[in-house]
Amino acid sequence: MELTTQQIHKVEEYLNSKNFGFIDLRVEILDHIISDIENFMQKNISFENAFAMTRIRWEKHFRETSSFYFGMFFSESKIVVKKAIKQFRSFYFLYLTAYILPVLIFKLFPVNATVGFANFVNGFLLSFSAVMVCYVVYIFIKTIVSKQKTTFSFILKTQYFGIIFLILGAVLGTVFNEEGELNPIFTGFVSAGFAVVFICHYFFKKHQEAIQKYKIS
Amino acid sequence: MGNQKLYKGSLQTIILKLLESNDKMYGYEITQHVKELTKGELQITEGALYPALHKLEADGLLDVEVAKVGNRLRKYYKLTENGTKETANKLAEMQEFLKTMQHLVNPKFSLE
Repeated sequence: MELTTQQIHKVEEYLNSKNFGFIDLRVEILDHIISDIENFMQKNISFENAFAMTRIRWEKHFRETSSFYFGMFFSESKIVVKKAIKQFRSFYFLYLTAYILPVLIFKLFPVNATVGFANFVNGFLLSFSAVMVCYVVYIFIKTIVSKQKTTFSFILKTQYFGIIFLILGAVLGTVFNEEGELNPIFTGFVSAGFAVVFICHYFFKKHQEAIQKYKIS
Repeated sequence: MGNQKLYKGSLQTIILKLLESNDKMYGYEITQHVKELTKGELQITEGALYPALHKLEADGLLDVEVAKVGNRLRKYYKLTENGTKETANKLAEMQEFLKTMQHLVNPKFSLE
């Protein structure tokens, strides 16, 4: 038995009440819930009862949850967080490596440069970092303005704060000190900052692709 | 039903195998098919299914197609060329794993 447009509308209202506007998941979650209801109705159960039973089954997937990968301040429906973890896990390790590796390498093998070269690198990193910070601000504004929610925009939301590393490493501090010695901690900050920019760029593209793909739907 | 944890690591292989035998499928259909094939022993939860399907799609192993069915939209998944190759690899890995487990759980002693 197929649901009527009015009954489907009730299911959509249920998803709205759960604040489930993630367009990359919504089409198939809606279809799945409707199929569940139709399955119950085939056993001669009324729409109201079938819908109530289906809601009980789905409640756990919409429960707000957070993850170690994104920090406890960011929570979303469990199904969204699960998808986000699967998409983000490898980037989390990239982020950690980008910080830890330069710190370890330059602690073990200190680098000294001429003052002229050190000033050139510091100046270049400052300008480049400023451009990168502006790019992340652009991504932030674009995502907010589009008002579309995807799992990727959730991941993005959790990553913006990481840009602080770039500000600390290249804008507030310097990679080389006045004597031309490389500072491993600041180098790690800059490297982690660039990793954050790359992650933001990657998930922003994914977010835009998802909007393009599901806009018609 | 009590073995759900044992199946957890094999979810991607299960999905790929089903799509290999069924051309294209949608999420609900996959859960029902698995339930039917395993006589209810394995029940894939939606919370595990969709993140896994989307990961396979992101890895380029699955292609998607959205079609209007009745008065709603439905998202179908099918294997890409890479997905077909990966299915063969995953199934070979699975066979090897099952063989090893068989040796461990039920060793055959011989005097040779």
